[in-house]
Amino acid sequence: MKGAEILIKALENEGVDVLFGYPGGAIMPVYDALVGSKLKHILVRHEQAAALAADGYARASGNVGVCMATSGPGATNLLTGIANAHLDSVPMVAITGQVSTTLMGTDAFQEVDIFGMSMSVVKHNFIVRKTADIAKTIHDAFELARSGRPGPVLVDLPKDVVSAEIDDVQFKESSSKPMPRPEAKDLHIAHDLLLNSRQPLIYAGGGIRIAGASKELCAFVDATGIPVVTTLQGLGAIPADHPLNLGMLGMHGTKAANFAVQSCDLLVCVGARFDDRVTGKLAEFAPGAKVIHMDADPAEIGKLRMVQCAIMGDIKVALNFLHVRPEIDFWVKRCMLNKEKFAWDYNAPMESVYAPKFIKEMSDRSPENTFVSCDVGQHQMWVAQHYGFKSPNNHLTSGGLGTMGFGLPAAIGAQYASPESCVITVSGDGSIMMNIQELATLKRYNIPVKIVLFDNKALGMVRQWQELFFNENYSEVDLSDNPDFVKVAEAFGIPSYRVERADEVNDAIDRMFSHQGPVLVHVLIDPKENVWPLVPPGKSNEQMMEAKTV
Amino acid sequence: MKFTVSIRLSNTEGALERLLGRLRQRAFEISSMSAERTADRAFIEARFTIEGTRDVEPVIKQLAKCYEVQSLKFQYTEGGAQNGQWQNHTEREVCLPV
Repeated sequence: MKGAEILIKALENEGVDVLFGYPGGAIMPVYDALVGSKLKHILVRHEQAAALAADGYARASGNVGVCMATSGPGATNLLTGIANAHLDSVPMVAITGQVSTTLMGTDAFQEVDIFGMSMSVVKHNFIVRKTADIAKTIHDAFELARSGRPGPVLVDLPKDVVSAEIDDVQFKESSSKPMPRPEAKDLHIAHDLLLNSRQPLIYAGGGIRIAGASKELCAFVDATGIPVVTTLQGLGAIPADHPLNLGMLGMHGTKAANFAVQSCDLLVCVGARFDDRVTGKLAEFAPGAKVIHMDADPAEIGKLRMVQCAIMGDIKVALNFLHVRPEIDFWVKRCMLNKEKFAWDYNAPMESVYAPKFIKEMSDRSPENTFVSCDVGQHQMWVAQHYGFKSPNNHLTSGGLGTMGFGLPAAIGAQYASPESCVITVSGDGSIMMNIQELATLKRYNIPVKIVLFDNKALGMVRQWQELFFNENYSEVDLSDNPDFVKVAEAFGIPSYRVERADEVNDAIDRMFSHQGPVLVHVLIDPKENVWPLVPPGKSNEQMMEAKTV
Repeated sequence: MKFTVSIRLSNTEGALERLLGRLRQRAFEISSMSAERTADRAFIEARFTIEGTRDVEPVIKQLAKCYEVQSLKFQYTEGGAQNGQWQNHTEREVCLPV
């Protein structure tokens, strides 16, 4: 068997059905073996999109996403997508071609040391130097990617290694390391902390999605009666309309969520990591709270915040164990009053489109099990604030790395993970240009992704910060010379239409959902619209800035 | 803060480089190091003396996360609690089979 054939068989053994990639010189033996295999290869138009599509596929399906590129520029183009998966703990295997082993280290054509370059943005990586090691390495790569705290694993394959033939190949069964049960003593400490708390708060993060523990989280919330705040990655871990859900916390969190965090006496952190966008000024985050921290990764415990109780291992077991009922009626009432008092106001008396209201209408009108991917910027925060997610798998957002250009490729990946579902990508006029070439992928495979493109003719989030924190000294944020996005979409063969006024919104959304194939909806919004509330940099979470006027 | 780490790691490509990268990213400086392959070529026994201004335990956990690491112990030699006593670090997700 040729090395490339061993690779394909090993991928099939791991249950891979789709992979995203782009061919080139060093990876050609693998593309040769791909012909006639059971694997469906999606040809993207830039390697970064291959990695981001694999990321989207993994988030939406819960399986390992796979991407592939050639050596040199193909491999370096994957890096942003790999880093994106690393920072959001997304299981991915990235396969890179490499020049032949005899040429490695000679500055050969399209040679880069991708093994060395990727080391700080992967969970682990491998170079395979012997054909006989390919099957085992692919097995280990998948096991590492999906076990414990998931993450990306890169496998670098020199051309001579995948071209050589060997006999007697041993394939291993697909496997993953089971999550250990939490220690009983830790659960009992947490039990007592919960029972003795008077102002407890659950702080739920992306770990809920990774562990598939939404049901257990909801049961825990219902049993204890404790209010919940979620991180960006935790949105949907508990349904947006759950009465005890106070919304997202942090920089663009709700006032109810941030006030609750700052005044709680016990913070139950479930699969979250005290990210700086969540905590604001770390020293002043939840200042009066003891902390219970549940996580799969020992390195997260005590990394940024000292804890009174660490629960390692399977969070489902922990959540099911901790069904206690502390005496917290007064606290819950206070949280609920804040939730009501600071509820979003969609009453925007203006002719132009108010993006938060558009997203709220889209959320209300979307079919069951709709997936929403985002790019990065103001529109990303509006989606987080105003789309009512019911499951964490349905929200695909680049939280850790903040990768502009994530949305469209991630939506492509999500559509392959769930072909029958509606998939929307919400983008901005800055972000869309980062991977706009993937419109060609939508057209090629007729992938029915719905693109909502909010256009404020600016890099809106940067512009907002320049307005607020740099004395309105606007520097390189003007995009008023954007192309005509409707014409761009049409040039790629994607139907498109424009929405300019508030009274067109509902019809535009209905038209988008009733359209069978891919479509781009170009939505013009006020360039001066900002994201509120906002915790300024270096401030604590109760020091939120608000809109002067809406 | 000065501390010494003694690590046994599987002798796989990039294993040492991975450890060094994690220290460098967190601004720790290595004041001395030694590493030796075991006779059966399966492992590397490495020892680093390290200085830095950040808390030590988070970086110890980051080192222990490297899948090549089979066992790890450390001691504070200056400025830490339990100065001079070796502490075993056992919390890890999984390590690479040798």
